[in-house]
Amino acid sequence: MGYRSRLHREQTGRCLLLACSAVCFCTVVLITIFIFAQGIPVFKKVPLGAFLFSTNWSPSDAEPHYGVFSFIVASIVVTTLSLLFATPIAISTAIYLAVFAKGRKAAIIRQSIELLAGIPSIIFGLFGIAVIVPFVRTAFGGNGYSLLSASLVLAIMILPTIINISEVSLCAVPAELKEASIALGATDWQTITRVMLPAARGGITASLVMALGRAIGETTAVLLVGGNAPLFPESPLSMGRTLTMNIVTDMSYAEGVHMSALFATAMLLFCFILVLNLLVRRKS
Amino acid sequence: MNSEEYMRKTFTAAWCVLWFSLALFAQGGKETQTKKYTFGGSSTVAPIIESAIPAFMAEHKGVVLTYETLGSSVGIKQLQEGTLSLAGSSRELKDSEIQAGLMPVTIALDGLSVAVNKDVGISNLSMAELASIFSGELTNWKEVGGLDEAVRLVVRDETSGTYGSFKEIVLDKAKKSPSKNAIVAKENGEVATKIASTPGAIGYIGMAFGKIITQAGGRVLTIDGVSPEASQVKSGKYPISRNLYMVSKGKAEGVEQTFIGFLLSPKGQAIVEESGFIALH
Amino acid sequence: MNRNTTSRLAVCCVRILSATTIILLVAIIGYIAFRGLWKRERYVSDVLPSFSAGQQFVLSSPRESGLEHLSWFALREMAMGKVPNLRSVTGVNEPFSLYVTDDSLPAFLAAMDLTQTQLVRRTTLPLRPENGSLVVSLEAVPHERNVRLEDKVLAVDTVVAALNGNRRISLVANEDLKRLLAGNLRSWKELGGPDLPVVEAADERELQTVRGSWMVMDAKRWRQLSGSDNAPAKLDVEGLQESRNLSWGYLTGRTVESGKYGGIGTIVVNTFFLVLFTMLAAMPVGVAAALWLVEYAKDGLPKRCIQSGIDILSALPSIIFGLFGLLVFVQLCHWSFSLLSGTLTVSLMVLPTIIRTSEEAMREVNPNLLEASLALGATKMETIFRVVLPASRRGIVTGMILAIGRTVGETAALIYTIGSGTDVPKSLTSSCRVLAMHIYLTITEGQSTDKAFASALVLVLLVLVINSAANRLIHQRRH
Repeated sequence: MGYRSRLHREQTGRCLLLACSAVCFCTVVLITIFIFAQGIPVFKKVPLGAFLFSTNWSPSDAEPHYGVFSFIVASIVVTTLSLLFATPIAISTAIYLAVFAKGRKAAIIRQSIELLAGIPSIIFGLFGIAVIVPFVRTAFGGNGYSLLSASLVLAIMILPTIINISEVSLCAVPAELKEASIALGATDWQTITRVMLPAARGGITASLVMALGRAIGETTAVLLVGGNAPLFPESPLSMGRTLTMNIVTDMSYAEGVHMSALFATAMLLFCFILVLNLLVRRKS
Repeated sequence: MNSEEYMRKTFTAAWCVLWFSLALFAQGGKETQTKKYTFGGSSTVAPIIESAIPAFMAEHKGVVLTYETLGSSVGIKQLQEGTLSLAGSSRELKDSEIQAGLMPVTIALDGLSVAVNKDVGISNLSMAELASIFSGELTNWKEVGGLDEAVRLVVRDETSGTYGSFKEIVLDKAKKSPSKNAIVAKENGEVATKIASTPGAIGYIGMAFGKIITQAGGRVLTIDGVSPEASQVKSGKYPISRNLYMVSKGKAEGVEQTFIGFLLSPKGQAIVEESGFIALH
Repeated sequence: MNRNTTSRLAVCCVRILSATTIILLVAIIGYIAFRGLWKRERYVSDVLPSFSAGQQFVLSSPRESGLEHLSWFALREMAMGKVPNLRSVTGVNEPFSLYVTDDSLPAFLAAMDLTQTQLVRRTTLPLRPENGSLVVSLEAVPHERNVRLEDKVLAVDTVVAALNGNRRISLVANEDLKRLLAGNLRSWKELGGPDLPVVEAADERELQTVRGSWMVMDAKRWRQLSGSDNAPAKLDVEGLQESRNLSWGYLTGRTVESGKYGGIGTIVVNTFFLVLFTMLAAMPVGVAAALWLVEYAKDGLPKRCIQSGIDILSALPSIIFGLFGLLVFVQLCHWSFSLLSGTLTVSLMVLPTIIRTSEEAMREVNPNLLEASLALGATKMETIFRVVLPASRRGIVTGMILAIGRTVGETAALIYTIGSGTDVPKSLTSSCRVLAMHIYLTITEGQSTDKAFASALVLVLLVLVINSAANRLIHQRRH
């Protein structure tokens, strides 16, 4: 085989590989372009302030209004509550795996975490309808379909994310710190809370931020248990609609300005996730 | 070398699989010699059309029909834009739509059943009470003789023909507007499941889905003492009844005309009855 | 409190909370398995269940038709030819045909209160009656299931079933029925009716004169009386029936009418096709990207851009991919709702997973091997194909399996791109639905929660298999 043809192959191969790796970057750029292109037109009809801060979402009225504030609030409520429910359990599990567990126990817990991470969101939604909604109904009264049920379901879904990253950062705490702490006479619990957790602070925060990103983008599971009423949520027990639920509910029949408003909602989500991502990368 | 041969074999195998499946699929492309027609629209009319299409295609080879459940209003809109050639509608056409040249053909009669969750404790409502409940004025079941339970409304989304018909027949006549504090369901079946699983729930649904309601655990009400049965709807005694239409842009021609003819034929009307609606006679 | 006790208490709490993950997993999978394998269906029967007078004829039907018991009213409708397909009776999609042998004809007509002109039947009995048939004969047909005819109703005085304000009894729960028959029911008020004492009538006359009376009456007789004045009313019975849910037939059966009847066989095949094509599209691109990142990339703007691209792509919610797919593949490229649009959308979603796992695997390749290959005079490209790829193949396959897991569970990205047709796709441009989407559509179309659970069980089993395959590969690598 001649030298020139080998060189040729080498160079074409390189270009091909570069092209393939650029796919992801190009996709992100294209997604940005397309979604923004579809979403910007709504701001010709509706000023940005009215869009973001009005609670009146009535696209089919004679005079349509497109205010997504109720959905923003619902998303925030659901995400915050889910983080609240998930963090104690997740951090405890991470601590357990990093510090205490050996061998088989650790393996079993790790396998169940991976399995939990792999279960599709529709299954969680189904479980939510069948078990969590009646539970919330009997325990707290009301409808059952509520933001509380949605946050319970989401909490289960984001557990693996938080656990995995937190465990990695806890394991990365240098052994000398741990040993020094124990040598100074600290109990296990003191070592954990005063030495390891602060040292792993960055990683744990990163895991929470990633979980936040996952929770806010979740669609199918919350759609089935959240109640889907486009009202301003007055309490966690009221039915609500998150940003993602709004997109899915209306998309099949929206057109014109309405569709543009839905894409603007998607833009909002997209920007939010970008910002979160930048925060995480800045820290690491 | 061993791993090199392994790599080569894997690659060749993968390539073969790729081309084989692509070839299989390319064969399918040739079959698009058959003409495809897309209909769509009301989710209430959907069961009739979805049962009628296989029967129609068995008699008329060479056509492929599909029906997309989009909602009456969306179906009519897409009919106007030309994406669909026939639209199913469970509500009356608006004046503007008739002026745009759309022509409806009645293919079945339907009644709207009102159903409640079984813990509500009532079996009947008057039209006036129904309007008060769905406008949000009545908020507790004991106000109409039921148990002490809050009223929870289950409604369809605003593009649904069922929503439109119910609003027109029940609420507009009583000059009340629909309450927004309601669980919005996107399909008839979802209404049934939400009614059956939510305490104090009340909702409306096409008569044909009554069986799903009872199987899910809800109760169908009688309105003004009349139950939503075929005989009562035909005689006009049941107050909430409507026509189901297939709408075409201008007069239907070709396959669309044959299909509508099929729906109006005895065979088609038997399918209408089997789906739980009322045949025209 | 002593800090040692605090410590021990706290550690105890940590252990308990950590067990929660396992508990949750077991709860979820266990519940899905339970609902997927057994279903409890509500039924409403217009006759008294399990009550049948001895008839002179016998009803038989093949097992596949699903007929075990039949109400008198339903049989009468079927005998008059008003039931073209069994699915409105048992849910099994088979055309219905009724065979009545000549010797059982008189008894049948008498029992059903029909004249011969009203009866629609076939006379010649085939050797093996087809699946949707019902045979009326004097002797039981061998190899067929005996169908019980339930022909008694709960007749009550009209006052009992009358409208009382907005209330009325129309359904009696099975447990209440048992109490009624045993004589333990005191007043109709307990069932939601008027405040009248419950009295069993001895005959028809007493039923029509004594207020609050009830009796078990032949369905035929009740129907004959129902046109006249002062005709007795009838109460239907409701109850729960437990039966097996997921069955081999459901798993392999063809889907009929968007999931209302039939099984999920075609949908499982569709899922397989989606996975196949997504892997065909995503694997080469992903592995190539990982190769570039590991072997060729120098720290600089291109590398950072590409890595940010991968990070952002992996963090985006699936609904955004769905919208992007809708805009580009469905509308812009005019591919409409099709397998092609769905495949490309999902490939974009799983690309970051494949790239990351492959990258990790490639970085672990022993650098000595690479240097040896280059020293022998191979070009970089040849080194890659003959050294790096084979060495990291296990990691690449792990990445592929993780990607398959993600593909199989995807719903939001596919709602707007792959369409909802239920048949096996004939070409890349036809729409087909996959398992996770089917579950979502079954729930929202409200057809049957039990079917949703059966499909969910299949999906969970699939995910379990994929997950254990990935696990085994990962553990083999580590050792």
